[in-house]
Amino acid sequence: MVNYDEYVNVANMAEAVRGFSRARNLALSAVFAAMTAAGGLISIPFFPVPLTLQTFFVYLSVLTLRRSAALSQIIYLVMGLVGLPVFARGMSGYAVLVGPTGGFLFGFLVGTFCSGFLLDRMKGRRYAGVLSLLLCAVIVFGLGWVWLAYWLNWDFVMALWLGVLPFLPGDAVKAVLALAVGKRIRLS
Amino acid sequence: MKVLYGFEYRRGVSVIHRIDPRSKMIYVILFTALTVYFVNPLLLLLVLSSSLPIVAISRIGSRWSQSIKGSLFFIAFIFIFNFIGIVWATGSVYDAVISGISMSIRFIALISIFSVFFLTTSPEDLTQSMVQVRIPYDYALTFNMAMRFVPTLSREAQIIMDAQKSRGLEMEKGNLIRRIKNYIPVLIPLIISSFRRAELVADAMESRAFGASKKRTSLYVLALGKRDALFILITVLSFLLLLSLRLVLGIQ
Repeated sequence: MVNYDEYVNVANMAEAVRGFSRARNLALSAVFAAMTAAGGLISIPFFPVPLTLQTFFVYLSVLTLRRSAALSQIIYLVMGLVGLPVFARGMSGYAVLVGPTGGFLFGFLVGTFCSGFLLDRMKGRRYAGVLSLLLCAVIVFGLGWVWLAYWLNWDFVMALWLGVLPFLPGDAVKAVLALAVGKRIRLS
Repeated sequence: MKVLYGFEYRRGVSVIHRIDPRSKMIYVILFTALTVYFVNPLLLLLVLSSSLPIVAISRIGSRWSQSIKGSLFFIAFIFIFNFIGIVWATGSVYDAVISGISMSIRFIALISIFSVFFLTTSPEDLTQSMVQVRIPYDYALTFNMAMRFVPTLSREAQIIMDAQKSRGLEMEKGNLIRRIKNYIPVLIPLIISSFRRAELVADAMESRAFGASKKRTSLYVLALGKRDALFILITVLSFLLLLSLRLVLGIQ
């Protein structure tokens, strides 16, 4: 008598039957990592700072992938680390991660992790999406702000003017856009 | 995004292609460490030239030069930002120019080293070698999928943008809200086609019984051979040689 259980991962098959399989999760994470990368390369010229679609894809990944959104961000950071020019303005490498704007990049990771978790917890409730995106933005900008302030010798006011305030209106619009698009996406 | 071509693998038959990815990884780690350590532009130029013999042997010259050419575009940015930063901090234009040159060469050297690695390493070998250094298979696989998606997606974004422009979409017009709205006709097709691609990949994986067995085994297992020993030897020796230029001769 063969013990079937040894060869077949039953938990995984049950997941597949429910429709959201591990394979689908991984493929979507890969796509979101690539989209975050491509989003950094597409920039809309605007004063005072050019808008990139990067955070749009970060927000969208939270809404669609929930808890696995952090995986896509890990992959994105590693891709940048190994030299693919995927960070904003075509940068790459360790120097960007530890540089003045590194806080925002780590913010993507921590932000998607926390807000994905929150969205999973609040599943189905009203304003779950809005609240989790708000949390994500707070973490991304909070980390980015403190990190940038450290680089400017703890000048928090200067960091606020350079790295946070110019981006807020654009990010609010991108978050609304992500909510509108995210509502339309139903993963089969 | 020409620089991305330098990361897209094409099948090749050279010695370098057949070297174990783990030995090539040693080259990557040692020489990227040198780019961090060196400050002198001439030394950085030496680090950059270390990838030239590999390019010659593996005959990847045309794609490699494309990625270098593509990265030249970003150097202007790096140079200007660095220049402003240094002049702001120290007020010395000479220092700013020298450090700008160093930063630019460092950037090209990094791109060159990594593109040599990715141009000569097939994704399957890379995944297998990542699994063999005990990175979980899921992460290794996702990383490789994402690496392949990046050039595809940025090309697709460009195609969609061109298509919408040819239909009369003016992307660089209007106020902030208008400009963001302009991006919707580009974003929606891009997102939909990316999701479709992900679904196709997931279906392909599942039809090959991905995740069906608890213990995943491999048909091919990578093993280090004489070729790898020679490659690692040359890499380590040239690494030590370059390192001694700073440690012994004292060139900054």
